Amino acid sequence: MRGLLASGLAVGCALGCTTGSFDLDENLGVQGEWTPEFAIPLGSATVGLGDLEAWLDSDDFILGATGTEFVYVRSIPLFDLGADDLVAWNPETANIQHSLTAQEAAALNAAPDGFPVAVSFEAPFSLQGPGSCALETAVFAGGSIEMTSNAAGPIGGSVAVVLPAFLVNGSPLEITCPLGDTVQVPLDGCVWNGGNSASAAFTFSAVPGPGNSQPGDAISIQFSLDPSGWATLTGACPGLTSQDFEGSYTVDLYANRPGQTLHVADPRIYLTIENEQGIGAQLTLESLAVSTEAGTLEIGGAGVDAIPPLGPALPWGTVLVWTHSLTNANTSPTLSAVWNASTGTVNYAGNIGWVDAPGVPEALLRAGRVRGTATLEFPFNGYAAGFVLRDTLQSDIAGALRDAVPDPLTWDDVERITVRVAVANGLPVGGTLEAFFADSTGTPLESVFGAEAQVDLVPGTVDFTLPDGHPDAGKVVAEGRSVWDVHLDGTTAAFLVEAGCDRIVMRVEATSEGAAAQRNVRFFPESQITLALAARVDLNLVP
Amino acid sequence: MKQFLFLLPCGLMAFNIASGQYDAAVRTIQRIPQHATDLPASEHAYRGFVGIPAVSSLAFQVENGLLYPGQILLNTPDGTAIDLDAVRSMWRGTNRLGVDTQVELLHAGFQAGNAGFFTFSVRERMALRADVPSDLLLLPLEGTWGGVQWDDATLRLDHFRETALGWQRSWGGRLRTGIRAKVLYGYEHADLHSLTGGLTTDPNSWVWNVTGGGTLRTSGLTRWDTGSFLPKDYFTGLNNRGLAFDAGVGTSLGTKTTLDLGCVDLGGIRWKSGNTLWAVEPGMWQFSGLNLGSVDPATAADAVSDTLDVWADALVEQLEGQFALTETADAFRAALPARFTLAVRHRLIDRPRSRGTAVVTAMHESATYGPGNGAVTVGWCHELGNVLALAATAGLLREGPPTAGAALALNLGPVQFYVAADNLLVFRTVELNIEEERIPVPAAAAVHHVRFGLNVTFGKPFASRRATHGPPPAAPSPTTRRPAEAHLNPRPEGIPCALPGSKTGRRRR
Repeated sequence: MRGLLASGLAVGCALGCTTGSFDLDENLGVQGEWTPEFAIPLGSATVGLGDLEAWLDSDDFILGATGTEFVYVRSIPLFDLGADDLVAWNPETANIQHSLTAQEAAALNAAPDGFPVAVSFEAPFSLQGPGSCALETAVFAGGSIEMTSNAAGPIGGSVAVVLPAFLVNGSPLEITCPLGDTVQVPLDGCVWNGGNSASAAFTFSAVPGPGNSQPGDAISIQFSLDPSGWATLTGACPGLTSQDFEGSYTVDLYANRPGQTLHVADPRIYLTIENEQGIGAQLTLESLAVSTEAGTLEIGGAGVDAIPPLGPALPWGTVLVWTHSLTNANTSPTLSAVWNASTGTVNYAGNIGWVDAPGVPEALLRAGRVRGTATLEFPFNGYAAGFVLRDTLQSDIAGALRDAVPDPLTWDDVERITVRVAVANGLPVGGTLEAFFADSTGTPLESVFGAEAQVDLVPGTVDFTLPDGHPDAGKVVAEGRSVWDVHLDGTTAAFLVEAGCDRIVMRVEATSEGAAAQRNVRFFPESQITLALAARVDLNLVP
Repeated sequence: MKQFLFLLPCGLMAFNIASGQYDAAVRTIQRIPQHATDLPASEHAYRGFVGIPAVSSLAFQVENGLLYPGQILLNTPDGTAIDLDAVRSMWRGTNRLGVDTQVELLHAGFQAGNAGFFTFSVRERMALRADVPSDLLLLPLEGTWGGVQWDDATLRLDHFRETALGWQRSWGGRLRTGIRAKVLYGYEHADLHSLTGGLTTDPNSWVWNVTGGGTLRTSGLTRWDTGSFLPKDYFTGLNNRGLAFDAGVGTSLGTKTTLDLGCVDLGGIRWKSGNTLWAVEPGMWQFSGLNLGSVDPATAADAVSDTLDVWADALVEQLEGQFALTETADAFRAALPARFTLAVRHRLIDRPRSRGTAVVTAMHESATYGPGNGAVTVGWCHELGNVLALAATAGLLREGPPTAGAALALNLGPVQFYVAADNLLVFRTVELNIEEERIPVPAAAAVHHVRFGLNVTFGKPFASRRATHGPPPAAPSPTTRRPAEAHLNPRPEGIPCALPGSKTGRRRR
């Protein structure tokens, strides 16, 4: 019994004791591996070429007129002419002299001194207009006409003139000028419809003074016209100055691309003239050539040699848009062959002349312009191999990495972060992608893809059994799928933060599907790329 | 003894070690009438007994399979640290939290001559158990990469009353049987039924595939919200009824060894009153992140910010579509977790005023709500006359730290007081110092169990067994005559024998 009690006490003591003490405070640590791994899909987005067009420079990347093809567009301004480039209307003067007749002299002598006597006469008033035009009408929006009058002999008074061919608000222009004085009248709103010359009615309100006027005493009237404010001229202008133009333009698709192949199946050049003048024109291309490795390659053919004229913009005040296209069908060598050999520079020279059609009313509008443009179009229909595209994405990557890991974790707790990019490529172009984190000077710091310097972009599969001309020829029938992993660990992140990484420099070497066999592929508005992002975080927590 | 030594490893091998044990200490003391709860065929020590109403047996059990501070905390030169390997090892098993309580409202039994021993009991039982999925607990340690499963989540809430009528009888000298029929009356119930689910990450695209389905079945819980529990509902007002059976069989191996096998709570309740079932059809949903669809790169940044709210709403809609929730009030049947118990007793000390019995029990629950609890326990019961019985046990669980229990039955006249605790190791504590406060917590205890009560007993322990259960197995007669020689002298006189322990071995002076 005693033994039993002693055993019970011993067991009781053993069972009821406190075996340890632990502090649960902020210094509580952990022992052992703590390496959780999380993966989460982030999302996906699909970008269609139709949406990309709105994002890129829309002037350079457009949907074609049919809405079924994509076209890379470059525009070359050829000329931009105003009316002052075509005509020059210099200031004009007109002198009119009237000699007193015997009767007029006698009437003046008979009148008492200071008593006005009216002497009326008519004389032609002429406007030359711009030297190269036979003026019919002119509308002024500015400028002025000055009238100066003088008289010989003992007379004073003033001279009034009525110019029926100069209308102001529908009424003939009337000017009264005291003798020995000059009067300036603005021409704003005036219309001259007297052609080159029209009759003017003068009335001399003579005031005799002491002495007698003699027959033959002259009354001199001088007009000075400032036509700088002319707005519209009508008439015949056979002598308008033709304008030469020349220049060169670098097409970035072909410039600085040694060893790269880009073939466009159906390139085009559109010559466009916007004519706001009421006179026809004729465009002449004296030279259209591209630079090649072997020199310069001249583009000829019917499209270059026989350019039709363009007519006037009728009715006056409208715009005539005239277009002439150069295609593989009317050029020699073909534009495709020309661009295949091109090193990117286009040289051009030509002139725009004016077509004077006898019997056809012509007009020049002061505000009107004549603009010429050559538009190079490269439809996305062809093939490419080793075609290099470069771009730089600028963003405060160092700052983003610094803030990426939430408190209380730090980059030391992150073993690795992997962002997986899954690409479903609906474009018929694939190739390789290189991307580097870089600092503000552009110095590469670290490959985005970790140990891999580049990753592959698988192109979409094209059904090349369809004949050329088929609506779906060159179209992707199955998406190409690629998976890229972007790795980042604590050491790399710290390095990028310290280096101040603020950009990613990318280089894509693109090759179209079937380029080795010179098969053409096409881009369609519905062509799209889908990107799906997922992230995996491997932590190695060491509190 | 040989049979005992043979059966001991069999008992250990037959039942995998499992967590949780029920009344192992009580079972060790046969004179406690409640020892036969899991062993219907076990003999009762008294001719009769009456439990003091409502206090004849009060049992409380708390299961903790989630956290053992003594195992996961350690002191290092830098201070206290959590041993993550220990945490992983602990949480990879069944993470069970449970509370179980039982109250005997009435319990009585009597020996009806040769007809057997009849018992009647009314008990109210409430059990709440939940298994927390291992993968969810290990999520901060392991992450989602390897997948997360939650189909090992379980929930069980049962509150019911059982009214039982039992009959135990010995057949001949060796076979014993016992059976109890129980009428069940349910109050509240909740369980997770046919739960499946998990999250896997596609190794290529890292897209999440989420699967899941199941049903949360409840009955009677709305009464808690509305407080609309009527007194008559406690007795007969609810339509939640069922039947269950307990059965047992036992035998004697030699004179000192008994073997009992019991199976209890075979049955269930059909729940009809106040039911609410929320069911999600098994489905699958793929989460691939924020799907912007076709975007305009020029406005993509705005599209993301504008779209997040819309996307979140669409995500919820998608989830609701894939895992459509239906709410019904259908009746359903829920089985009770059955329990199987094997007990082997071997009397090692048999003196007039002192008896010592070694007991080995193995218990295992059916896997009705997650893996069934189970345990193997070895114990020693020492009876001191008719007054005192003491027991000590040591157990190994299916999961969790071992246990050490004790029980005591004190008979003061006809009144018997007993108390039993299956795991005294809860008193092995560790101190947690939190913000200047020292909080003692059990170092590592999977089970906290205690049962106590008051009975009124009639007769001496096992005094009536010889009269009602037939003669004991016949001991060999005190003669050297072989059976083949019986015909030589049909009535031989007894020959004094010096065999130890035999009366005839003593010379009468």
